[in-house]
Amino acid sequence: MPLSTPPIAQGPLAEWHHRHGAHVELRDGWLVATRYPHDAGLRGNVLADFAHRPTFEINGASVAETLGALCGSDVALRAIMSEGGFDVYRLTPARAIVFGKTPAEIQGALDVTGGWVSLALIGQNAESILNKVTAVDLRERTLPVGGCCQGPIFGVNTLFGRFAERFELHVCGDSAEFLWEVLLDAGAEFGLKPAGVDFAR
Amino acid sequence: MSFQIPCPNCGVRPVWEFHYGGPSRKRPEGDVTSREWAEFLYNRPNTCGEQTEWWYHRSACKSWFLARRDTRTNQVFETRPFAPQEAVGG
Amino acid sequence: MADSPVAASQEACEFEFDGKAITAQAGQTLAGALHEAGQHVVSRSFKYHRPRGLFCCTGRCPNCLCTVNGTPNVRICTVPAEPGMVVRSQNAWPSVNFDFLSIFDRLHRFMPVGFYYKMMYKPRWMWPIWEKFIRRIAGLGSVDRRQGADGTYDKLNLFCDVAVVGGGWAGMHAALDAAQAGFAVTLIDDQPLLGGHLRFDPDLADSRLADVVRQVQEHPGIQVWDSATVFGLYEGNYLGIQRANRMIRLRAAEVVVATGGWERPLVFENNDLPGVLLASAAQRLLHLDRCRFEGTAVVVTDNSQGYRVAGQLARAGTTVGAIVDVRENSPDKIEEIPVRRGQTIFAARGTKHVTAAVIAPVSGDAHATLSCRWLIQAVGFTPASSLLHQNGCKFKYDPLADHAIVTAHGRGTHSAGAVNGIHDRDGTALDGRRAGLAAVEALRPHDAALAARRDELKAKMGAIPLRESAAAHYASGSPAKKKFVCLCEDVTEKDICDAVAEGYSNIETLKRFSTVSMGPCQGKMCQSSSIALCARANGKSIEETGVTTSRPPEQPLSLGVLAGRGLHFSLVRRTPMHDWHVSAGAKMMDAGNWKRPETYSTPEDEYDSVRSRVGLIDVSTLGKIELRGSDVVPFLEFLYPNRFQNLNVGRVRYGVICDDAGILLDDGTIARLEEKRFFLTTTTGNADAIDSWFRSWLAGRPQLDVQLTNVSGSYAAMNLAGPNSRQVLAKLTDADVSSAALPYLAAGQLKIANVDAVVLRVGFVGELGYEIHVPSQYGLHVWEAIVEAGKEFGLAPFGIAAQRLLRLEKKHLIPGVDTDALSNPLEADLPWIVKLDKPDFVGRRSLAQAGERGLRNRLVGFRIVGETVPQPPALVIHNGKLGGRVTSCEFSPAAGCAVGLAWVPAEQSKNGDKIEIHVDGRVVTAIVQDEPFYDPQGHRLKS
Repeated sequence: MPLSTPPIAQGPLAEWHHRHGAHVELRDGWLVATRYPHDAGLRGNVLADFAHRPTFEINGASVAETLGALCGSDVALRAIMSEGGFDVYRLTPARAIVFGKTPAEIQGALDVTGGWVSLALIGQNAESILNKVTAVDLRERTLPVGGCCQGPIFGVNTLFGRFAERFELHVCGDSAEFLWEVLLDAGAEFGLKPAGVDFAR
Repeated sequence: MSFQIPCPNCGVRPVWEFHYGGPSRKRPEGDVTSREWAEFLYNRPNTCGEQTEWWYHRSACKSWFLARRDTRTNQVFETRPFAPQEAVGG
Repeated sequence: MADSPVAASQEACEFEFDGKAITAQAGQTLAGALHEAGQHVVSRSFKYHRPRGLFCCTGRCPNCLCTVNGTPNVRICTVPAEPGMVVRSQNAWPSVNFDFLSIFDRLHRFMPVGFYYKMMYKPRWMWPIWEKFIRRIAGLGSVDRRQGADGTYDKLNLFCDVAVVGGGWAGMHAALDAAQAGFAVTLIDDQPLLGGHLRFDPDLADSRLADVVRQVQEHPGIQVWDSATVFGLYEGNYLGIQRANRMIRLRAAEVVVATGGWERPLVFENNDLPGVLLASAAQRLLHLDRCRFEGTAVVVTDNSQGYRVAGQLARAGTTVGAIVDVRENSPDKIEEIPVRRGQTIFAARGTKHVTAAVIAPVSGDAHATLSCRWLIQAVGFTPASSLLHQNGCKFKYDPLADHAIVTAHGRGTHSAGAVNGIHDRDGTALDGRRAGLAAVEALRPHDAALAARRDELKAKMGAIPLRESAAAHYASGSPAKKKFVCLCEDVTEKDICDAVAEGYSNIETLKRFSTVSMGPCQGKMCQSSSIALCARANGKSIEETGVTTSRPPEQPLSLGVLAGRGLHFSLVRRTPMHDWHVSAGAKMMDAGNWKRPETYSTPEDEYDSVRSRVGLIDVSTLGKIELRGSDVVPFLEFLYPNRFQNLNVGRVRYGVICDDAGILLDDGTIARLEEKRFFLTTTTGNADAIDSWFRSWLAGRPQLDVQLTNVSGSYAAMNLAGPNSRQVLAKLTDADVSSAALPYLAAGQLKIANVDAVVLRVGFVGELGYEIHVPSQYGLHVWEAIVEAGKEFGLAPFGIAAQRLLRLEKKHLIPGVDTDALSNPLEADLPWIVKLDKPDFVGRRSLAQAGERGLRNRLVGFRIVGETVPQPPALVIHNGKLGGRVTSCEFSPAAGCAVGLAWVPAEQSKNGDKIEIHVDGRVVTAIVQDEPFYDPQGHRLKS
């Protein structure tokens, strides 16, 4: 292999998508499941894999300052600041995670893209499906739209974000396949299906 | 055990998301006798009542913080991050 | 859906009971249909195999336990009939109507209370025979193994402000008042419909019942879970609820327990005969299952419920022969039914069904026999207070009410209605509203409107009467043996008295010895009478006697409900190269939650390729921590016994972590990638523990400028090792990887296969080697590139099995395998790591003391001449006594013999010392060796 060949990046679920008939294509150097054959007919709840989203971790006492430079203001604890194309999750006073492409490099942030897998759980039963697998209180009044929190799903430390029509779940890549299968299993009674990122966008 | 602990970062959560880190104690610094050191290592207080103790939110934010809890009732009165002026705990 | 309770059949249907076809009317329970069909014996009792019939009909007593569609121990009084159901009786052979084992009923003198503690263990040789026999006849029902799990068990986690347990009159009022104040209420009831006992007591229910039920159901703030049983009320108002095959875990801010009461049975001779029923059982059969009671009934009572039941029976066509009222002067009256006042039941007569009731004055022994087919007892209720007990509420016995009353509630817990001893219908409603308001006031204190409503309620309540009356519940002086206190375990009044006489006088020991209240009903039928009897037998008061402890589950539940879905049991963690390993045919093994390749071909072949060519192992499971900041060096100096002042950029060092007692917790590498940026690895198993350990010390030192990021998941890691590894690496990078540019213990940042990598030149397996860390998303890419590039050099992937042997030949310890909770680095043969000349660090004082005291034991390498390979933890014998143990041992191709690590007494730990290891009953001699068993000078490692 010539050394100049650009490397191919893939998330831990790439093989799973391939096995289950997804259309997987190369995007920005990543193998991405862009669509499933059944996507067009989907009406109900879907689960999609956004492992390829760039992810950055900001740690330390200067988080507020860094976020100020990035978003124009600090982000409140347990809130999500959604800017054009990226979301900032504020987890603790000294920690924030940024998902998505930022316009400029974030000072002092660590690229942890490969460490995190982002899943989107979309549909009107999303909360009911999650209630089957986690004891974290995800009621809207505890976790409002634009809010985030962390907690376990069967031992998988999960970062939950609530958006208007979806939950985003961010987990460590090593547990992603486990969680993916747990969610599909728990969601079966609500007709949960995997979907490609083009459908779930 | 199913009582709840308000994590300073994550809000009220069930105890099984946390790891108990023992009562907050001052670690002997400077010149200490072997006896004092052994006291610190092996003679842990077993408070019946209120105590300030360390908890670690292992299943979520991975932060250590202090909680004031009644060991008889598991009532947690307050939780807060460690402040530098306090005695350094283990 | 998995959790929908069985829906009642909308039309008549047929099911099978012990092979006999039974017709059920629309909506009838199995029990109701059997009653109507004249099948009054539905089970045989546990010990004596006595015929038993429907008794409580509320899903409490053990009498109607049957196997339904293969599921054992189903209470058929709660299951609506469905077409084609197959119901089998239990504990009877060949049938409930004729059971050979009823011979035990005549052998009771050979089976006194606690007989299983006293018999059958002598003579010893008889035990296997006894055991077979006991296993055949003991237990209730049998699990159909062929049927297997039906796969639909499930769990649900929910939250609410106020949880109300019990959808009776009190519970519904509590729910409404709490919801009207704007709080989210969850109402849980174990019946298919709300309304509690009013559903089957038409004399008490009026149009208000339907009204209140409708209000509850239509209120947007109330979530109703019907057919759901709260089996546990745990600390922090955490409720365990079973609803069909689903377990609901509900966290409530406040809980109102309105669980009502359990009707109490009387203890008299033959009180277990079919035809003896509790009043509410008769009412449920009459009004819910629309059954008839043909023949004559006698009602025993001490309150107005008995009169209502008698009237209802009479209206349904039953001849009520008499009401036997325990009270001399009672206010209750009824026309056309003779009332015998001041009398109580003395005995029932009959063999498989009641044929007559023997009654007697409460004090005195003049008997009268009344011929009858049904004997209905209506003597009041015991509060169904198990959940309150579980939650730590305090109780006090009230002699007037003849049961315990809550005196102090647990935090956030309230109770209302019959569980408080309130039975009056209007009083129950008021008490429910009061409890609902109290719950809401706890959530929104100092609210003037709530306070005003509370005061208004208080004024209305005045003094709500408790139980109407409490009369003596025992007929005097009957010496009969067959007076059953506990229907589940066939414990009689005589058994209790005998047990007390034998010294089991404390209520808790009495319970364990006699097994009273330990059966399927968990004391719901027998608690009050067993306590009363225990008190009487001891000559003490009921208050002095106390109560046994209620624990979850409050009602029996199947293990599947507790287990939930099988798929969810245990987390599986996979590395980015997982799928490659599987396709390459690796034998995977569990390492904690991880799946790791144990071997791809054979450990021997893999060993061989590493030692003579080149191998590649996936070590992505290592814990990885990145530390940045200006105080990292002082922080590391404090956390490790090692020195870090002198660790230059681009270098990596082996280190161990100890606790303050000097105990070795973990080992790993510490690389300085930049001036203020360090990259640390931990062992796989300790990744989370060390992360937490670092954070705990940082938490107490917020002034330190140290930023910790756990990057365990962000990097895939692989170890390329073997004499050819440099050539393989050189093919994949433009960087200079010569020994001059990248010497032993160098930490480089280079591009491997066009991916930014951290390359650590460390040698766990004792060869020239590179630990390569790349961003996880490129893990597979880099792995495949290395495998491809390595082909011409004979590269083979290797697994954990080969690695264990490779490292053992180098005498490298594995924390937690070769060390335990008593091992310090001085004794674990790592004294060079401990720098006692440093200022304070974690474990320093303890290690200094250990050094002064002198070593007691040491971890040493050993070799054994011969064929023997002792398996850990083979024991090391010293002077004929236990001296230590082997922690690792393998046959080493390099040494040509077995080599290993063992803990031995310090005085036997010098190079060349002989140690004795106990192997399969004999002793083999091993020789202590200081040097590694392979490449002792480390030439290959540093080449």
